[in-house]
Amino acid sequence: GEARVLAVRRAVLEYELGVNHTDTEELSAGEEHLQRCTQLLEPHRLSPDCVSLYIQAQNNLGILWSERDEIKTAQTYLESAEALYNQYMKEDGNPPLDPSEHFMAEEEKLTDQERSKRFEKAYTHTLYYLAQVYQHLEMIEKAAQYCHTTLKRQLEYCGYYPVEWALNAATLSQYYLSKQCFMESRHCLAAASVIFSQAGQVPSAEDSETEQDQQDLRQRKADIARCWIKYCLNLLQSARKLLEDNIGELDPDRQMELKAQRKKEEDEKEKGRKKAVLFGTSDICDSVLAMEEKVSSVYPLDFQEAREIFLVGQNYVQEAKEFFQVDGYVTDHIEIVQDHSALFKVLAFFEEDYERRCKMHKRRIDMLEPIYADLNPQYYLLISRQLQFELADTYYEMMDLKVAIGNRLEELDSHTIKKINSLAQLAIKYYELFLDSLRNPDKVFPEELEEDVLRPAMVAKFHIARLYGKLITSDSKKQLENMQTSLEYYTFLVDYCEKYPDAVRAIETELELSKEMVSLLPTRMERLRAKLCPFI
Amino acid sequence: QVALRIRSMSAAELAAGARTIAHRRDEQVVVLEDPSDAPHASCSREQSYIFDVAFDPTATQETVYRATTHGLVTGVLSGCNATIFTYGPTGCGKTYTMLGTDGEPGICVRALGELFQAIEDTSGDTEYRITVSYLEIYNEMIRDLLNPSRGHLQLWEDAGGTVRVAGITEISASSAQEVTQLLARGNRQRTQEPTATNRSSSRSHAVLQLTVCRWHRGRGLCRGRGLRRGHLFMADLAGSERAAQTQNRGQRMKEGAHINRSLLALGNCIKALSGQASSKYINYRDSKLTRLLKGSLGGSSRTVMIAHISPASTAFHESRSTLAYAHRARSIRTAV
Repeated sequence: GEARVLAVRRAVLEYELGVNHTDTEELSAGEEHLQRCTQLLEPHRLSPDCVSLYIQAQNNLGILWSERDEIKTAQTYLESAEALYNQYMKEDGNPPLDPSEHFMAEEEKLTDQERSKRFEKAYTHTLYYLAQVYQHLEMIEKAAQYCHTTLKRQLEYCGYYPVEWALNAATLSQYYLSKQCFMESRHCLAAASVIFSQAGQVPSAEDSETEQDQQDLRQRKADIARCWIKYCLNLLQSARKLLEDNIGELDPDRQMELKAQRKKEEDEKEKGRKKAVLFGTSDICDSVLAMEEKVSSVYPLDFQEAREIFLVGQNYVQEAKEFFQVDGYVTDHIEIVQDHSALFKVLAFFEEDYERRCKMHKRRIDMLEPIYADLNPQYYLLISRQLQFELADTYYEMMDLKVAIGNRLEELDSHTIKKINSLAQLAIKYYELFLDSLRNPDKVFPEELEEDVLRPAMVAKFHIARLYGKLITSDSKKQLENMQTSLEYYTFLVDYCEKYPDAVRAIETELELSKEMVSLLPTRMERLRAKLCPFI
Repeated sequence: QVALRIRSMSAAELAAGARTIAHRRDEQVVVLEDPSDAPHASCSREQSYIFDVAFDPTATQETVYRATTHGLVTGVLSGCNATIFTYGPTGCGKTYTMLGTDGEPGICVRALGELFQAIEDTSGDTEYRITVSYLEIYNEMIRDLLNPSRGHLQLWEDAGGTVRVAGITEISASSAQEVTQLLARGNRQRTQEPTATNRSSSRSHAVLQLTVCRWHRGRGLCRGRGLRRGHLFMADLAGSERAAQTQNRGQRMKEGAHINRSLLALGNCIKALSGQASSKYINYRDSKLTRLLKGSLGGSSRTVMIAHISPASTAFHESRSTLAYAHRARSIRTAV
């Protein structure tokens, strides 16, 4: 009756005071008022006139305790609010009174629609705050789930800024990628693209503001494209990991296994889909689905499937490069090109024909070499090294392929020999450039290598050694020289690992082979020398 | 490094009946009193903040220079980068610290003087070239203060490694006086901010860039070996009165357990999920100022921030938020 009405009104006032104090960092006073508020409402907390206020008070208590760094206490308040919401919706479900209505005249009172909107908004905040709490508690999966739900509810209840929402969804997709949850990742990206397209022209009076906004829009669109690139790349690379054997080639047995398994899982996938948290008010649901259908979310198991995903990724590369041009956005541009190169590299894995594989690697060279040439290594040291190494590896790969192709023929013709040698030389060149980049300003190679460059440096040395061993020449003297150089590089590896035993872990396989070569090569060289100068 | 400077009480503040509530307790500690009369049950009336160095109203321009900027100049001469910011609400002395007056020159002028003096003093086989550019960033738009008729300029990242402002005027300077004159001219071109408090989005930063190019004589062109290039950025940041609003949106500096009220910060929460994942995350706060100073905020470069507050009781809230912000800024460094 009357007492109840007064109590609730008093609770509203306590709530407002509590929030006020909390905002001004007077936490004890804030806590006092908020506690009084919940105490007053406690016996009636499930009824329509109290539930919203109670939840909001608990939200604020959660925030308050987080300010005190007592995150677990915050968690209890917020989870209690969450439970209360669920209970209310189950047992009653009618749009409850908004706290502001307790001081409104009859005619000012809100519509049910408005009440529902505000109530849902309060609950969305509960979930959002919980997301942050779980994150602080390092319950990352749960935090992601709550972020996801918050995003969903923003679409349905809270109002949102399309660009911002889209970026958040795209960022969330990257989280899902890191967990190999491709279906969820794709869904987030598809929704991001759909919602982003809602952001049309931003109306503005001043010209320059519009220009800036246009610029922003274009950049954000490119950002989302980059997230899609990562999606395609990740999906392909994960599939590769599943399919490759111990020498990095596609294992046909595994392929058959996985295909069979996939057939079985198709039914389960459908069920899984229905359970997943989907974005979508009815109007965007179809658009999101349409976007999703453009690219697979299951592992590609053969070249056809891989190629389809590759093509989607490549399209987004073009889209991203439209904005992130070399002139003006060097770092971003290069990263995109590196991704493009990675797409080719992983597609090559699925390609059976060696010649076609070679062509894919050639595409990589063509896109990376010019960029590398223009880069100032003094300022872009890390990227420069990455490109050097990648170019070297690609040439190395191509050389190996040419040798394999050549081996199928009866005899190597001079054209193929020239090709193999030239590829080998180019690989050597770039590995050397990489190793040079490790020298200190006085051009001395470091005695001990730092952890992050240790393995690449060792691999570079190892590959150079092997490449000198692969060079084909009819001149025996030259061949001896090559073998000598090869031996020197193998020896470097062995010696380094002796001096710094910790390094062994980083290059076990290469070290073993190097040791073998160090013992074999001198004998071979002796024999060759004997052939050359039989009279000595 | 973070420094704090308390300005002296202004005539207007005295006239309004304000009393001093900000005190410098010792070389590094500043104390702020809560001036309100309302009784507080459990919160203290005083809050103290530690900085690398604190200055009270009696500190001279020379003292401030010596303690904050002097050390950066030598680095710049040998090719390092340095950035110095002034931060604080409008009217608390940022421009005074940066530029000063004719009689009491600020750190900009002193740094220039020291640079040119050092150049004169060094041995004959080193050549120097100093270029100056002065720009304003207002509402994410860049204007060249030395040539404002060019309109708005774009940022450019080139393969050489620098983020530059495309087409900005870079004037070769031969004396400190010349540069000071340029600065004065440039200042008159700064955007007048509307005095009404409704434009919360307006922020005008002024950035002075001094580039010192040094190389050994006899080796020919600037691009030859032995070239060292150092940059000194001096940024007079916009009034921080609105800082409280942007704090919710920006990157959180201290990884406390503090919950962000506003849904605007949802992005930060999502971004943090991936941790240091190699997947691309979207750069939310890619402001023009950040991009421009990106190179100079790197590992080998030094950054100094001088925060400013008024001592008056009438400015309590602004002072408190400035102190809190500057204090948090300090902890970034120690975490790295």
